[in-house]
Amino acid sequence: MIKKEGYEVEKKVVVELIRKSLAEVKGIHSIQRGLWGRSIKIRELKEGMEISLGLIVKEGNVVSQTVRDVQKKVKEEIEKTLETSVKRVDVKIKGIKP
Amino acid sequence: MQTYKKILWGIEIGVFAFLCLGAILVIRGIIPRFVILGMLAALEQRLIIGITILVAFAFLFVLNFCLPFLIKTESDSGAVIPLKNPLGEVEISQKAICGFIQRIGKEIEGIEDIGAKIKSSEEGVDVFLTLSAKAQGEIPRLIDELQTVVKNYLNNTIGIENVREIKVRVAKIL
Repeated sequence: MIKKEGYEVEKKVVVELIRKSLAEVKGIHSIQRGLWGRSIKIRELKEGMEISLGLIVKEGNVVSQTVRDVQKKVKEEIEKTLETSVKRVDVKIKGIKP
Repeated sequence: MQTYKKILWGIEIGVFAFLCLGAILVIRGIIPRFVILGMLAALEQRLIIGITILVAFAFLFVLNFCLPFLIKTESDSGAVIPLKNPLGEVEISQKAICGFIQRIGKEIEGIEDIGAKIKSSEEGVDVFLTLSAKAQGEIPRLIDELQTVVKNYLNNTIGIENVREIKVRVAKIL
C-alpha cells in the first residue's frame, strides 16, 4: 500500500503499471515468475520506492542497453503516473531466449 | 547455504534417521513392540503433549515439501554477475549466460557440444568452456574462433567489459 495525501494506491496497481511499461520496451521475452506468485517486488522507503524484478530477455539485443531502457521506462512511468520518486530499479536477468 | 536452511535440513535428517533406527530396532525385536505402544498410549493421555506431538509432526510434514523448494531457490540465486548501473543494481544469472553461450557455440561449425562455466571476481570475468569437437576441422582454429565469438558476445551483448580469460578444454574429439 502506497500512502498518499488523501488516498492510497495498492501495490497490485503498481505491479500492473510496471508490467505495462515493460511491454513497451523492446527485447524482453517475459517476466520471470516467482514460486509463489509475485516476481516484481516493491519496497517503500522514505527516500523513494525500490523495485526489483527478474527478466528473461530476447536474444540478439544488447543486454545492458535493454536493462537501461527497462530501468528508465519503469522509473519514468511510475514517477509520471503516481508522482512517487523511484530510488532504484534492480534487475536480475534470469535467462536469454530466442 | 544459509544457517536456517542448514538447521532445517539437520532436523529433517535427524528425525528421519531416528525413525529408521527405531523401526530397525523394533523389527529386530531389540525393543519389544508393547514398549512403543505403551509409550504412545501414555503420551496420548495428556492433551498438551498430544497437541505438541501433532504440531511437531505437522511441521515435519510441511518441511518435507518445503525443503526441495528451498534448494531450488538456492541454485537459482546462486551465482550472478553484477553489472554497474546508476539506476539500480543489475544482476545476470549465470544460467542465462551459460545457456546462451551454449547456443552460440553450437552454431560454430565443428562443435558438437559445449558446456560453459563463469566465474566473476573483482579483477574480471573468467570463462571456462568444455567442448566436444568434430575431428574434421582444425581444432586450434576452432578454439580461436570460439574464444573470439564468446568474448565479443560478452563484450557487446551483455556488456561485460573486463573479460580476463577464456579457458577452453577439449573433452572429446568425435
